[in-house]
Amino acid sequence: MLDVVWHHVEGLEKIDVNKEQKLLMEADRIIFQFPLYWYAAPAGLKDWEDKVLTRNFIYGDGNDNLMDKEFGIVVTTGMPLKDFQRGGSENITIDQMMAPLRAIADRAKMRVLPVFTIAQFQYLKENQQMQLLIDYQRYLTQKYPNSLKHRQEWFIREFSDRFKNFDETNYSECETILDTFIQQKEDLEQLRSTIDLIKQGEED
Amino acid sequence: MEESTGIWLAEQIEALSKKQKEYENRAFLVALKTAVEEQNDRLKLLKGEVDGRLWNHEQW
Repeated sequence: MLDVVWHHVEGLEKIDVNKEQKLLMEADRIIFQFPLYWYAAPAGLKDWEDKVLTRNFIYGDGNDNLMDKEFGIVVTTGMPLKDFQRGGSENITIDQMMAPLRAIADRAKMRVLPVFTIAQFQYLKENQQMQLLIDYQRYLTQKYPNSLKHRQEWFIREFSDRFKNFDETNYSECETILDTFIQQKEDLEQLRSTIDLIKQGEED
Repeated sequence: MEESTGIWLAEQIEALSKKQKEYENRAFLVALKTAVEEQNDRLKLLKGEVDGRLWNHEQW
Protein backbone atom coordinates (compact mmCIF):
# COMPACT_ATOMS: atom_id res chain seq x y z
CA MET A 1 0.00 0.00 0.00
CA LEU A 2 0.96 3.62 -0.31
CA ASP A 3 2.67 5.29 2.58
CA VAL A 4 0.31 5.05 5.54
CA VAL A 5 1.28 6.34 8.99
CA TRP A 6 -0.55 4.88 11.97
CA HIS A 7 -0.34 7.27 14.92
CA HIS A 8 -2.00 6.29 18.19
CA VAL A 9 -2.72 9.54 20.03
CA GLU A 10 -4.02 7.92 23.23
CA GLY A 11 -0.74 6.05 23.48
CA LEU A 12 1.36 9.22 23.62
CA GLU A 13 3.05 9.78 26.95
CA LYS A 14 3.13 13.51 26.45
CA ILE A 15 1.63 15.50 23.57
CA ASP A 16 4.34 17.45 21.76
CA VAL A 17 2.18 20.02 19.95
CA ASN A 18 4.81 21.01 17.37
CA LYS A 19 5.58 17.42 16.52
CA GLU A 20 1.90 16.53 16.15
CA GLN A 21 1.21 19.57 13.96
CA LYS A 22 4.20 18.72 11.76
CA LEU A 23 2.90 15.18 11.33
CA LEU A 24 -0.49 16.56 10.23
CA MET A 25 1.15 18.88 7.73
CA GLU A 26 3.08 16.03 6.15
CA ALA A 27 -0.10 14.04 5.40
CA ASP A 28 -2.27 14.21 2.27
CA ARG A 29 -5.23 12.53 3.93
CA ILE A 30 -5.89 12.73 7.68
CA ILE A 31 -8.16 10.11 9.18
CA PHE A 32 -9.44 10.00 12.74
CA GLN A 33 -10.25 6.46 13.77
CA PHE A 34 -12.01 5.61 17.02
CA PRO A 35 -14.75 3.61 18.71
CA LEU A 36 -17.97 5.55 19.29
CA TYR A 37 -18.32 6.56 22.95
CA TRP A 38 -21.61 8.22 23.83
CA TYR A 39 -22.16 9.61 20.34
CA ALA A 40 -18.66 11.07 20.11
CA ALA A 41 -14.96 10.35 19.99
CA PRO A 42 -13.32 9.09 23.21
CA ALA A 43 -11.88 11.63 25.65
CA GLY A 44 -8.29 10.83 24.62
CA LEU A 45 -8.87 12.06 21.09
CA LYS A 46 -10.75 15.16 22.30
CA ASP A 47 -7.84 15.97 24.61
CA TRP A 48 -5.42 15.63 21.69
CA GLU A 49 -7.68 17.86 19.51
CA ASP A 50 -7.84 20.56 22.19
CA LYS A 51 -4.08 20.65 22.54
CA VAL A 52 -2.91 20.15 18.95
CA LEU A 53 -5.61 21.80 16.85
CA THR A 54 -4.99 25.31 18.07
CA ARG A 55 -6.86 28.24 16.57
CA ASN A 56 -3.65 29.57 15.06
CA PHE A 57 -2.77 26.25 13.50
CA ILE A 58 -6.21 25.67 12.00
CA TYR A 59 -6.82 29.14 10.55
CA GLY A 60 -5.60 31.93 12.80
CA ASP A 61 -2.05 32.35 11.53
CA GLY A 62 -3.25 32.88 7.98
CA ASN A 63 -1.21 29.97 6.65
CA ASP A 64 -4.12 27.53 6.18
CA ASN A 65 -1.79 24.74 7.26
CA LEU A 66 -4.22 21.94 6.43
CA MET A 67 -5.90 23.45 3.38
CA ASP A 68 -6.95 20.96 0.65
CA LYS A 69 -5.90 17.95 2.67
CA GLU A 70 -8.57 15.27 2.86
CA PHE A 71 -10.28 14.55 6.17
CA GLY A 72 -11.83 11.16 6.87
CA ILE A 73 -13.34 9.44 9.89
CA VAL A 74 -13.39 5.72 10.66
CA VAL A 75 -15.77 4.93 13.48
CA THR A 76 -16.62 1.58 15.01
CA THR A 77 -19.77 0.79 16.94
CA GLY A 78 -21.34 -2.20 18.61
CA MET A 79 -24.81 -1.09 17.54
CA PRO A 80 -26.29 -1.99 14.15
CA LEU A 81 -26.03 0.70 11.48
CA LYS A 82 -29.81 0.77 11.01
CA ASP A 83 -30.19 2.23 14.52
CA PHE A 84 -28.38 5.41 13.47
CA GLN A 85 -31.08 7.22 11.57
CA ARG A 86 -34.03 9.43 12.41
CA GLY A 87 -36.69 7.04 13.67
CA GLY A 88 -34.11 4.35 14.49
CA SER A 89 -33.48 3.34 18.12
CA GLU A 90 -30.62 5.85 18.40
CA ASN A 91 -32.59 8.51 16.48
CA ILE A 92 -29.42 10.28 15.40
CA THR A 93 -27.27 9.77 12.30
CA ILE A 94 -23.53 9.15 12.27
CA ASP A 95 -23.13 12.33 10.18
CA GLN A 96 -24.92 14.37 12.85
CA MET A 97 -22.62 13.00 15.55
CA MET A 98 -19.52 13.74 13.49
CA ALA A 99 -20.57 17.36 12.82
CA PRO A 100 -18.12 18.96 15.32
CA LEU A 101 -15.13 17.18 13.77
CA ARG A 102 -16.26 18.16 10.27
CA ALA A 103 -16.73 21.75 11.41
CA ILE A 104 -13.05 21.86 12.36
CA ALA A 105 -12.14 20.36 8.98
CA ASP A 106 -14.27 22.98 7.22
CA ARG A 107 -12.61 25.74 9.22
CA ALA A 108 -9.23 24.35 8.12
CA LYS A 109 -10.46 24.34 4.48
CA MET A 110 -9.99 20.60 4.23
CA ARG A 111 -11.92 18.31 1.89
CA VAL A 112 -14.33 16.21 3.93
CA LEU A 113 -14.70 12.52 3.00
CA PRO A 114 -17.74 10.38 3.81
CA VAL A 115 -17.50 8.58 7.18
CA PHE A 116 -16.40 4.94 7.09
CA THR A 117 -18.56 3.22 9.69
CA ILE A 118 -17.85 -0.28 10.98
CA ALA A 119 -20.90 -1.57 12.80
CA GLN A 120 -20.98 -4.89 14.70
CA PHE A 121 -17.84 -6.26 13.10
CA GLN A 122 -18.05 -9.50 15.05
CA TYR A 123 -21.47 -10.26 13.55
CA LEU A 124 -20.15 -10.17 9.98
CA LYS A 125 -19.47 -13.40 8.11
CA GLU A 126 -15.86 -14.20 7.17
CA ASN A 127 -16.25 -13.04 3.56
CA GLN A 128 -17.90 -9.81 4.69
CA GLN A 129 -15.05 -9.16 7.11
CA MET A 130 -12.55 -9.72 4.32
CA GLN A 131 -14.43 -7.39 2.03
CA LEU A 132 -14.55 -4.81 4.80
CA LEU A 133 -10.79 -5.04 5.39
CA ILE A 134 -10.12 -4.18 1.75
CA ASP A 135 -12.84 -1.50 1.67
CA TYR A 136 -11.03 0.00 4.66
CA GLN A 137 -7.67 -0.13 2.87
CA ARG A 138 -9.30 1.61 -0.08
CA TYR A 139 -10.65 4.25 2.29
CA LEU A 140 -7.08 4.93 3.38
CA THR A 141 -5.44 5.17 -0.04
CA GLN A 142 -7.93 5.19 -2.92
CA LYS A 143 -8.59 8.37 -4.84
CA TYR A 144 -11.90 10.12 -4.16
CA PRO A 145 -14.75 10.13 -5.03
CA ASN A 146 -15.27 6.39 -4.60
CA SER A 147 -16.31 5.71 -8.21
CA LEU A 148 -15.96 2.46 -10.16
CA LYS A 149 -13.21 4.13 -12.17
CA HIS A 150 -11.18 4.88 -9.04
CA ARG A 151 -11.90 1.46 -7.54
CA GLN A 152 -10.57 -0.21 -10.71
CA GLU A 153 -7.46 1.95 -10.71
CA TRP A 154 -6.82 1.09 -7.06
CA PHE A 155 -7.11 -2.65 -7.69
CA ILE A 156 -4.80 -2.47 -10.72
CA ARG A 157 -2.14 -0.67 -8.70
CA GLU A 158 -2.46 -2.90 -5.65
CA PHE A 159 -2.60 -6.14 -7.63
CA SER A 160 0.66 -5.21 -9.35
CA ASP A 161 2.21 -4.62 -5.92
CA ARG A 162 0.84 -7.66 -4.13
CA PHE A 163 0.78 -10.62 -6.49
CA LYS A 164 4.46 -11.40 -5.86
CA ASN A 165 3.43 -12.49 -2.36
CA PHE A 166 0.63 -14.79 -3.49
CA ASP A 167 0.90 -18.52 -2.76
CA GLU A 168 0.67 -21.24 -5.40
CA THR A 169 0.64 -19.07 -8.45
CA ASN A 170 2.97 -18.00 -11.18
CA TYR A 171 3.77 -14.75 -12.84
CA SER A 172 1.95 -15.46 -16.10
CA GLU A 173 -1.27 -16.54 -14.35
CA CYS A 174 -1.36 -13.26 -12.41
CA GLU A 175 -0.47 -11.28 -15.49
CA THR A 176 -3.42 -12.81 -17.34
CA ILE A 177 -5.77 -11.91 -14.50
CA LEU A 178 -4.48 -8.34 -14.38
CA ASP A 179 -4.59 -7.89 -18.17
CA THR A 180 -8.15 -9.22 -18.34
CA PHE A 181 -9.23 -6.89 -15.54
CA ILE A 182 -7.66 -3.94 -17.40
CA GLN A 183 -9.32 -5.06 -20.63
CA GLN A 184 -12.72 -5.08 -18.91
CA LYS A 185 -12.06 -1.56 -17.60
CA GLU A 186 -11.24 -0.40 -21.12
CA ASP A 187 -14.35 -2.10 -22.53
CA LEU A 188 -16.45 -0.16 -20.02
CA GLU A 189 -14.83 3.11 -21.07
CA GLN A 190 -15.40 2.24 -24.73
CA LEU A 191 -19.08 1.50 -24.13
CA ARG A 192 -19.49 4.76 -22.22
CA SER A 193 -18.04 6.79 -25.03
CA THR A 194 -20.23 4.95 -27.56
CA ILE A 195 -23.29 5.86 -25.49
CA ASP A 196 -22.16 9.47 -25.29
CA LEU A 197 -21.85 9.56 -29.08
CA ILE A 198 -25.33 8.05 -29.58
CA LYS A 199 -26.77 10.53 -27.08
CA GLN A 200 -25.19 13.41 -28.97
CA GLY A 201 -26.72 12.06 -32.18
CA GLU A 202 -30.14 11.87 -30.53
CA GLU A 203 -29.94 15.52 -29.54
CA ASP A 204 -28.91 16.77 -32.99
CA MET B 1 -15.34 -8.67 -24.80
CA GLU B 2 -17.63 -11.65 -24.28
CA GLU B 3 -19.71 -11.90 -21.12
CA SER B 4 -18.09 -15.27 -20.43
CA THR B 5 -14.68 -13.58 -20.07
CA GLY B 6 -15.84 -11.69 -16.98
CA ILE B 7 -17.31 -14.82 -15.44
CA TRP B 8 -14.10 -16.72 -16.17
CA LEU B 9 -12.07 -13.93 -14.58
CA ALA B 10 -14.18 -14.00 -11.40
CA GLU B 11 -13.69 -17.78 -11.19
CA GLN B 12 -9.93 -17.50 -11.66
CA ILE B 13 -9.71 -14.95 -8.87
CA GLU B 14 -11.85 -17.03 -6.53
CA ALA B 15 -9.69 -20.11 -7.15
CA LEU B 16 -6.54 -18.09 -6.50
CA SER B 17 -8.07 -16.64 -3.33
CA LYS B 18 -8.72 -20.11 -1.91
CA LYS B 19 -5.05 -21.04 -2.34
CA GLN B 20 -3.81 -18.12 -0.23
CA LYS B 21 -2.51 -18.80 3.26
CA GLU B 22 -2.19 -15.13 4.27
CA TYR B 23 -5.51 -13.65 5.42
CA GLU B 24 -4.81 -10.31 3.76
CA ASN B 25 -4.05 -11.86 0.37
CA ARG B 26 -7.20 -13.93 0.58
CA ALA B 27 -9.20 -10.84 1.51
CA PHE B 28 -7.68 -8.82 -1.31
CA LEU B 29 -8.73 -11.43 -3.87
CA VAL B 30 -12.24 -11.67 -2.39
CA ALA B 31 -12.60 -7.91 -2.84
CA LEU B 32 -11.06 -8.01 -6.33
CA LYS B 33 -13.68 -10.60 -7.27
CA THR B 34 -16.39 -8.20 -6.05
CA ALA B 35 -14.89 -5.51 -8.29
CA VAL B 36 -14.94 -7.90 -11.27
CA GLU B 37 -18.59 -8.73 -10.59
CA GLU B 38 -19.30 -5.02 -10.53
CA GLN B 39 -17.52 -4.67 -13.88
CA ASN B 40 -19.59 -7.56 -15.26
CA ASP B 41 -22.89 -6.03 -14.12
CA ARG B 42 -21.95 -2.61 -15.48
CA LEU B 43 -20.82 -4.08 -18.83
CA LYS B 44 -24.15 -5.86 -19.19
CA LEU B 45 -26.10 -2.68 -18.38
CA LEU B 46 -24.10 -0.50 -20.75
CA LYS B 47 -24.36 -3.05 -23.60
CA GLY B 48 -28.11 -3.11 -23.01
CA GLU B 49 -28.19 0.67 -23.14
CA VAL B 50 -26.28 0.73 -26.44
CA ASP B 51 -28.72 -1.81 -27.94
CA GLY B 52 -31.71 0.10 -26.59
CA ARG B 53 -30.54 3.40 -28.00
CA LEU B 54 -29.56 1.94 -31.40
CA TRP B 55 -32.99 0.34 -31.75
CA ASN B 56 -34.84 3.49 -30.76
CA HIS B 57 -37.38 3.66 -33.62
CA GLU B 58 -38.07 7.33 -33.03
CA GLN B 59 -34.59 8.03 -34.31
CA TRP B 60 -35.05 6.05 -37.55
